[in-house]
Amino acid sequence: MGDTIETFLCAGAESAEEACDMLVAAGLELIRAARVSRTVLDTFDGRLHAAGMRLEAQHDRRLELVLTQDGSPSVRIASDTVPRTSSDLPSGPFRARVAGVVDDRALLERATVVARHTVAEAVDENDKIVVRAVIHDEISVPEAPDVNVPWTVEITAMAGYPKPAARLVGELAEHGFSAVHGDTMDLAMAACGIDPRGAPSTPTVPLDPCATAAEGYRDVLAHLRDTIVANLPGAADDLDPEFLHDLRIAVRRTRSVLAAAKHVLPRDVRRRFRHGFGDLQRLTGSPRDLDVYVLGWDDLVAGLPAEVVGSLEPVAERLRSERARAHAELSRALRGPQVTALLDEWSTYLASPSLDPDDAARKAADPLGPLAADRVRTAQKALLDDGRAIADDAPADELHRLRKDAKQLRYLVECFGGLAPPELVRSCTKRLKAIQDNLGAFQDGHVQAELVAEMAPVLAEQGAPTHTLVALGRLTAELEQRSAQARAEFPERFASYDRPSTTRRFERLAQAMVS
Amino acid sequence: VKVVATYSIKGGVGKTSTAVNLAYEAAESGGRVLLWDLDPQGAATYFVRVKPVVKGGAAKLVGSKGALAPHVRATDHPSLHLVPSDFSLRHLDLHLDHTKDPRKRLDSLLHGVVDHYDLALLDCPPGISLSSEAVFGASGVLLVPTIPTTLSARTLDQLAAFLREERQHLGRSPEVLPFFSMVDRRKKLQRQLVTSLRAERPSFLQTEVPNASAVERMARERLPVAVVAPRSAAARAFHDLWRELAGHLWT
Repeated sequence: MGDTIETFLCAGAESAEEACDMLVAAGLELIRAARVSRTVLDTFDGRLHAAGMRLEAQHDRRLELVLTQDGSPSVRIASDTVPRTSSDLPSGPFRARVAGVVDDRALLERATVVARHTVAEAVDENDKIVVRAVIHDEISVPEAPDVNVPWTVEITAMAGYPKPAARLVGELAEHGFSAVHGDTMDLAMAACGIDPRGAPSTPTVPLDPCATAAEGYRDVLAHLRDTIVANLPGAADDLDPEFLHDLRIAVRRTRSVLAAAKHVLPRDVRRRFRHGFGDLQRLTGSPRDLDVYVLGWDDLVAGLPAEVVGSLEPVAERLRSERARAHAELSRALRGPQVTALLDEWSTYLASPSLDPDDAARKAADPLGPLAADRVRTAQKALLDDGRAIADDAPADELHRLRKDAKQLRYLVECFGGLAPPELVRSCTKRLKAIQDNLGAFQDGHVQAELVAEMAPVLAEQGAPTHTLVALGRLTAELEQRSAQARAEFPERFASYDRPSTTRRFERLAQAMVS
Repeated sequence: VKVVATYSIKGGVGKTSTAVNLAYEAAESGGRVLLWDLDPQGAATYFVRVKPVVKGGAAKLVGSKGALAPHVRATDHPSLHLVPSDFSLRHLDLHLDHTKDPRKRLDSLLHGVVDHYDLALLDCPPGISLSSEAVFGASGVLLVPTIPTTLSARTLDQLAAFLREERQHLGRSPEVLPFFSMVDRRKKLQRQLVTSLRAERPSFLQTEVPNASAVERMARERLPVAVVAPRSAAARAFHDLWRELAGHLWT
């Protein structure tokens, strides 16, 4: 349905000017030539690319945003600014399409290419454009001035008009041009080593079950370290909430893997870095909680009458200002000497020869597969034992401990998932997620209710109106109710996890990790 | 995809100029737009410079093996595509009648392309016929250009009565959004009718499209009003009409 663009490189010595002459000889008319700056915008984790979309900020005489998608017409709108998030886009279908893919992630400038575009078109007897050719030459990449990108000709076959484009493609082939995969921007990004897929979000790395445990743990921990380092600037700049979220998850996974590294890594190393990453985790806790309250405010107050939500505005305002303060503190801390030293020391340790099996703990030289499988079995057993021990009147702490068990198991399955078939890993994490969602709803509701209740005397002291304090009480009750509901659902949720089929599935996973 | 039909029982009320100009405005504002010319006169097709040819004719287009995709043509605006019309569409009712479920046929044809467009605009011929019912079955909104005349209210009543019957038959019917078209504010009677009709029917959109020479220039230049006369009152009106409709569709 969309127009089809084919890109051609010249194999011979012809210049872009000769290509212009060729296009004119083929019946096209030169329309315009201009220097155009094109910047690809995508999220840190390449969501638009993964959805088959590309968003570009193109600057010629004016700024335009261009959205292309395989099989669809391309869309072009004028803009005053380069959008930083989808909410900066004008409302309507353009924004809806982008927002539907990127959600609340920031739009980052992935690559910029500047080139001269010479546009030539052919029209039919109705003066309707039936084929367009654009020569891209004098190409430069401001971020990588030494990179050489070859000049190209892009032919656009308009939807419903394949023949004129096919004729032109034939002419180009006769003149020694050869078709290439992708367009000029793809070629430029490849030449600069920019991966359009963005940063990987999966914790899974390819692992060899026969490698030593020390090598396998190093690969997993190094990958998590890379994730922490990659997300740290975005979290410090508060570009979007996902940077902090992903940073925290990578830190938690690091601590989980360190906890499961007994006899693989030296005790002092495990203790030192678990402690160091624990500090980092605590540092990020409050800003993340406030992200959830502020950015998820609508979910927090869902179910309350509109007038109650209106009365809670001073609460929302206070949370917003607390969030701003917490993020400012976090930004300083993430750029501070303590975090820098932690990551430097961690990187030094991961690269150091002390990981050599001879010098490490007693299981460091064991094969990775059986050891990882053993750790998964142990974690699964702990989860089942602790879960079965929870009575109807068990205190909240027991459920919180169970949540930690579930996280520990989930992180082991994900981080050492490279040893097993992906579908088996997905199936195990899906079962875990069901129980984690329930435990999360219970604990989050509980913690949120406490936080909200603690705000009441503070707001009262600051002279908040009575209806706000009453609304705060309603919100606290609502959150406690949600937590109680999750608690009531727990036995059924756990029972549906604690089944022979789950045990068999985890055992299959463990066996797959060994072989 | 949102499906909007420019429709009126009456002819000569500005359906095609509305469809073409709204399609252009929608594309300019970032939408992927499919304009489907269902009128055998092919005026919308003419306005966007596409040849009035339906390969295989209306029979092939709407027949049981028909599909919309092979008929789609790019226009000179990158995100505005067209399914052209030709004279074979004068027998559209007949060809629809040969299909299994004629009232749902246009809807099922649109389903084949929904992933690629944000808005499908159907430019309909005047009258009430089987093809009108198929349009009602496919559309979420009927945009009804209404010249402020005494007979307009009667025409809207006829449409409302017909749609009530359709609702019983199909289980649904499109929302009707009338707007004043070809308005001549110099005429006192028209001004009075605009006021009284608005009072009687709150569903009228706020935007009024004036009776303007700029709209006539569209035919000569074969370009939308926003291009041939960007500062004209008509261009502003179509821009505002799109904004008003988009606000209705995307909120």
